[in-house]
Amino acid sequence: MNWKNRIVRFGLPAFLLALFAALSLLWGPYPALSGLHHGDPRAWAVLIHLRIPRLLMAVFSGALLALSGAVFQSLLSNPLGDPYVLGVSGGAATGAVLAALLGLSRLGPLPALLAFGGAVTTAFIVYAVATAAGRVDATRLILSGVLFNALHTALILFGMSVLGPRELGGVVGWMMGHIGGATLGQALTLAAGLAVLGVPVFLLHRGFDLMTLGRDEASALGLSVRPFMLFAYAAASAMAALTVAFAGIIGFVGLVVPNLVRQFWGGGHRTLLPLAVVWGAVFLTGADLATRLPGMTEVPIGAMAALFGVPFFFWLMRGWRR
Amino acid sequence: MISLRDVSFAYPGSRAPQLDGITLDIPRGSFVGIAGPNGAGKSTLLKLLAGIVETRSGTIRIEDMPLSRMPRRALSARVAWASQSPAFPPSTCVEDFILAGRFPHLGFFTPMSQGDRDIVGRYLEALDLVSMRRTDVMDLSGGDRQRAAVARTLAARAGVVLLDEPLAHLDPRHHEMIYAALDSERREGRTILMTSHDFNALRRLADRLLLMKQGRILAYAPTGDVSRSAWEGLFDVSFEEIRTGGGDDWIIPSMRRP
Repeated sequence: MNWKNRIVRFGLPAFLLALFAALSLLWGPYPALSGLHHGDPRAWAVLIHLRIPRLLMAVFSGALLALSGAVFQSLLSNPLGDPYVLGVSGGAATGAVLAALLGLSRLGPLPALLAFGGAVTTAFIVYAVATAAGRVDATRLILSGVLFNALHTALILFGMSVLGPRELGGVVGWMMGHIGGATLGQALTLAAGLAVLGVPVFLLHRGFDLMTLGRDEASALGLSVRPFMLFAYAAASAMAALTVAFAGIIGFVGLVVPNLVRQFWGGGHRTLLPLAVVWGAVFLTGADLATRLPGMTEVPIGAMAALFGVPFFFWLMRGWRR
Repeated sequence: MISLRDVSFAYPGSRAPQLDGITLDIPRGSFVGIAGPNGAGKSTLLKLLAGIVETRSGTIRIEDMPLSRMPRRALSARVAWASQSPAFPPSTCVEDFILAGRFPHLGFFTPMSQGDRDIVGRYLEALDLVSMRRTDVMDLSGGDRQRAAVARTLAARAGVVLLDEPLAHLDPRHHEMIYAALDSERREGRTILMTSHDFNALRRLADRLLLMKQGRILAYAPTGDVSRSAWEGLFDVSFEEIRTGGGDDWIIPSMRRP
């Protein structure tokens, strides 16, 4: 890749991210720019306690979800790979509903821990169900994910039918994706997750290139498929589980962003993985900005991501050759 | 030398074994053409030798080392395999697709060198892919894809090359290109095993022929020693021998039952 290409590939999303970040910090019911200009002490409080955590939450949630989707798509050799499709998000939602049912909704990190636990448990079961004779089959994995999503939907609806109105409101808000009340600690936890899980995933980018060729070909080319797949699946599931636990269910980022990057900048994972991280951050920061447009103030970020994501994905599909 | 001793294999859930008691010695540097009807076990034999599936019983040794004890990447550096139905990932150019063949030598962390790129360049040229090096593999015709898959396998520069139906989808000109590329590999001392339903191509290229039926060996002999009746017994059809103007002997099915 020459320098001109590299600037376009990485410079464009970096510029958009910087622009959206600036707008995200300054735009809102409280005029932060004017507050800062006039030395209003509330301006710093708004920035530090509300807007910076929210911005960082959007950035790292988008990055983690997009990276998770890129990894799943490579492992399954299928553009449908996504934490949402594989049931990870549904597992988190069941955990969150369980927390509400047990009356733990306001007990510090417990709801997030239960959501994380639900996501990881579902990922583990889906993987185990899809394994036959020591081999994980991509079609079985997707089908298992779809089935577990259906099961989770049933469990969630059952749970919601017995919840009180107060808990119900909280759970519904969380299920539609919610980063408005993010704390700096949550955002930094996601940043740590991105560093701990994302860096090893990136370092193994050649393995993901081989996995897109299919399991047998990857094996014949020298990849120890079973341990690689187990590590990558666990890492992608953990990234999604961590995000969903704090930010709620935000679909389409993992599905749309890696497919967008692949279509415009190629399928090589050395470029695809970091670009998915950056574009994931851009996508969700942009979606969060859109929720602040006049008349949109109460639209949850998950709904906004889907509103952008669905038509965009249809447009992407038009470009697919097969 | 590749040696197989009483090798059997069955896919999980299948009633009959795909390979049943195969014993075989393949000298280093030989070109073995493998023929047989559908379901004879040809592709399974190549998958076993590539370490993609594991034997149910029996042993396979490559240069006296049991295949089952070779680490995955070390085995891939010695044995390269081309599937009969390779997958082509979206948004990947031909050159990058072929570069994946260098993974056994590079692993995750060794940077790609000019030497690796030169090897890829050599096979791009040998298989008439230079003009398509930046083309998306999804945009290639069936024949172009087939040549790209063969190029990736040869780019591994492994001592043993396993090719499963590499002539499928190819026009006569590109058949000749594959023949020339494989001939060059053989002259460099590589051992080649190739399956094909083009038995005249096998007769032309291979030193030895392995005829397989229902998971067993029907014949394994130098090419010139495999008689017309052996082919007839293999496919249950009659063959006629034809001498071409260039002096080559061809066999063609006469469409009569023997």
